[in-house]
Amino acid sequence: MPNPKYKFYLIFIIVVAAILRLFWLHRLPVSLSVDEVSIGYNAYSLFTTGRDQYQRPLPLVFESLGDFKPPVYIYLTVVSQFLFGLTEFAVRFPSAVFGVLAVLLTFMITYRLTRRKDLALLAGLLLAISPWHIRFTRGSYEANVALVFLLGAFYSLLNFRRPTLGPVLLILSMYTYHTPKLLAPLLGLGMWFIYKKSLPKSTLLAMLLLLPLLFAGGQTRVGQTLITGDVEINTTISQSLGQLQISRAWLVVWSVINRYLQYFDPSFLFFRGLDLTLNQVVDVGVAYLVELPIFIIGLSVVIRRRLFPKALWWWIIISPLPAGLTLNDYHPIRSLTLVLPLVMIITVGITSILDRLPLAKYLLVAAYLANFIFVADYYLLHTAMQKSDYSFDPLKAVAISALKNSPHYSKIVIDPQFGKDGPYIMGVPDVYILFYGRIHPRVYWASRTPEGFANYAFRHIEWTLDKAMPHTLLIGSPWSLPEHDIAPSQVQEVIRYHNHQPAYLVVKT
Amino acid sequence: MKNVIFGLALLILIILKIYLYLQLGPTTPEYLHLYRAGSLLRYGRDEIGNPLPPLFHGPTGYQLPLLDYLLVPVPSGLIFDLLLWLLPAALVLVAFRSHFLGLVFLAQPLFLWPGSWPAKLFLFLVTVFLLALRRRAVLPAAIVVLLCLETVTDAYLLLPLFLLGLIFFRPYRRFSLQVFSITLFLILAIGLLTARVPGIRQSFVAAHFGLFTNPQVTTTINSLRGEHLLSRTSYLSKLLHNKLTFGYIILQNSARILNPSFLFGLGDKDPFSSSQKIPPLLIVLLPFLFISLFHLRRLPRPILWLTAVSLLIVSLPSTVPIESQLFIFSLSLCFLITSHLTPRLFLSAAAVSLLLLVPMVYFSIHYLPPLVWVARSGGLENIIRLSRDNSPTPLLLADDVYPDPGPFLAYSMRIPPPVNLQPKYHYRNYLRQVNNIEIVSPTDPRLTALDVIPVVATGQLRQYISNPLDRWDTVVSDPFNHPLLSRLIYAKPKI
Repeated sequence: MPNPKYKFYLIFIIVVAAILRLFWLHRLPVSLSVDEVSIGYNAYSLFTTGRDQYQRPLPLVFESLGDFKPPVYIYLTVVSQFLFGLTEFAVRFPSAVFGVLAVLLTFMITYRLTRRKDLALLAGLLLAISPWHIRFTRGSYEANVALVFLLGAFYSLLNFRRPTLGPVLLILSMYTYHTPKLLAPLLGLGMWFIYKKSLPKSTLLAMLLLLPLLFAGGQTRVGQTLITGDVEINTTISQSLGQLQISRAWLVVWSVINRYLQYFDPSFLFFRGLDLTLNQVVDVGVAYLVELPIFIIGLSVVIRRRLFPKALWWWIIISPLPAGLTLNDYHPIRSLTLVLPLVMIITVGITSILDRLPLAKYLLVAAYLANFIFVADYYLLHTAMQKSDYSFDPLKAVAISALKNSPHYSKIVIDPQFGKDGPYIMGVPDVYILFYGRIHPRVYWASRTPEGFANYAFRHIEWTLDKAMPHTLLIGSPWSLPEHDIAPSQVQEVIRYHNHQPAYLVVKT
Repeated sequence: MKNVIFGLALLILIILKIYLYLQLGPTTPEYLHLYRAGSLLRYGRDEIGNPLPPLFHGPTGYQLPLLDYLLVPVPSGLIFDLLLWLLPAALVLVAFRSHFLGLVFLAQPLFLWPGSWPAKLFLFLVTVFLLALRRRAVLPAAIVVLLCLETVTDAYLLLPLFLLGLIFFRPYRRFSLQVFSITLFLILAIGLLTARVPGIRQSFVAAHFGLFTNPQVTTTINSLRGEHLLSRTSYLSKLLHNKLTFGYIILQNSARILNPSFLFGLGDKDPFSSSQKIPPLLIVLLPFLFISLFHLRRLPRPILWLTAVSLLIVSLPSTVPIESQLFIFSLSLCFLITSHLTPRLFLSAAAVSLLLLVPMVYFSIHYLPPLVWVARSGGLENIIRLSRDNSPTPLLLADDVYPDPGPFLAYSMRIPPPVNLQPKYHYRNYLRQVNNIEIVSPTDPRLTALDVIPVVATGQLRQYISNPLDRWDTVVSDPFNHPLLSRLIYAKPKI
């Protein structure tokens, strides 16, 4: 890259990407999710003892909350914790860094495909400011790290001189998140068939060796999320199609097709895919609304001038497959790989507009800026408020309160069930206490009891019985601690959701 | 030979259509049209006693009259359904000289499925309009425009858009004067027709602009402006969330119909939509649509015009998906799909016919009928039989299984309409009493009386039975023998 101007632009884009992903990383999203806390404590346990939370030495599959996690993200968090300690920032840091790497790789892939630096820079910039990518790089989402490995593999296989790196990165992606277990072999084999004249035969062999990895851990997760477990489908089968096996198969296949096609729905892409609000009357798409006309123009240019190579079309075709085979309509994380073609189509659209109307760049910048502010308003203000009632926001405060009071009480009982409309949310306050208390794993292992560890017990609070326990602190939701039966002097603290509604009461007996 | 294959495929489709109609029958609104037409034929008045009215009273507002008056001389719903299905296909086949287009059109679930008569009639008139335009016949085109305005209120919005599209895209050369004159005629006609009854305006505004009075949208906007932000009220939020949000929602609604999972997957999820769980188009056509998009540049100008206009049509600010829009849009997609894919050889014709027929046959015979059996009033004939056997004892039917059985019962029992009922707009009340059958709420206290025949949802039996000696008989079971409705037989008087 001899021209220093392009270098400067690229550095500028990387800096923008880094700012958007790293700034206030510990505060936005407002609280660590259950998965993030679990990842953080497992990494801490590995870092300090070489074993995971359940005392398994250097595992390749991590037992998590109800499922099994692939290992790569947790090992990356170990490195991050080496640098920053056991903090919220350290847990999210690998994801943010890989988000910045994805921007660089998008630049490289676009340049490899088009040989045009301006296009490559634009594609990189669009990914840097993409709401889809920003949202999922600001949390510990393994999908985002897996995306980087897939992008790396894609670039490597496009760049025929170094094809061996491709299969290695594909393997890494399969050990990072569950969707690449299907995507990686399909991508690898597809790429080999498309470029078989240029790629050495050893690459095919490496791709074929990927197939057994499909069964390497994570089956529990696959079993939990497979579309055959869908309630609506099973209800339909049991109610009206229960007579023939062929009907069941037909309905499942039909539902897979239906779910697969949802990821090409303009509403998902431009209006409500990001799922930032609760009622979804208005929401934000995975791409900016302003990109809708640009996308249409870009797509028509891509089709008309046959700009995309077969490999990129293959990427588009296979990207929604894992999401199509699993539960949940419109899942923006499982379909994150679609962000690459989306960005590239919009890049083509912008370029063709600017080729004809150079002055439109001012309009485009203004439109993007307005749309960015619009999305930021949702992301910074409304999401945390609207989703607060259904999030794990209060658990950090619960953990801090429990840790603060721990020396003063002989027992602290914490009810893991809470929720606004009823005790429907099952939290894991034990992991939050381990995380925020930076409790050494050996201390934790040594002090475990049937109900919890040390003087903490994690179980449902039975107020009529528990109120008689001496010198005990009860931390539970108003569903288990009836306010009318508690003297105000007993209430030590009221822990609230982000929207200020009461979530937990801290009550001494 | 190719035409023989297409002819055979058409024959199979006709058999399938007749099978589907006999199996399912029309939808509840179509039963109302049938009953109304029969009433007009026999008694010269509609279902609420108005003699030959210029507008009818429907369940959700006024209904335009053309469909009902056209239905009067037609001896059965099946023939009308067949005509509404075959005639547009025949017209596009003649207009565009493409057997394949006709076949693709006929084989699509949206067109093959019985029901949606007003939208299908509108589509038929639009195809006549297209043919008239193609032949540069201005007068017939103008007459069709007038007829369209008496079909569905959507026409008041869709037709001007069609004509605007004509002026803008100019698909036919040397035609602007004729189009201009039709447009003028249309404007005059709309003005005159809407002036005659305010009800048209009401229905039209409610159907197409109901978004602006939707309280959920207003609440959402207020909430985003800061109501839920508590102390953190943001001036930015107030600046960003205002009446422009309506524009955002309009765009969002427009994008809905372009959803491939709606067009080719499981159709509409709205339980009140007649196209629920039925994709408008066959999934096998999706690859062909991509191929057509690939060759978009080489498409004939009239097809491009139709596609562009139908895209414009689906971008209207309606709160609910409107069937007429969907039909026009699907027609344009059929044009797009077939524009580059006309099989010329015997083998390819056979392959394409099989590709269309096999999924459609399975889809229609096995998959969908059980899913919509209740929605299509399946099993209600048992209620009629029960009421006749016990006449004149009143039969009370709780409405939690069949929400609106009135039109079916009225049509099947051929009851005479009342003579000029007052007040006129009480359709719902009138069709809730059909001979000795009365449709009541599941909580109606009369359901526990001894001097009536109470028929309730089998799943809700517990709430009616308190005495162990009380019995029940299953009256209606679904196609898989799951009991749906049961007759309560009380052992002793209730206090």
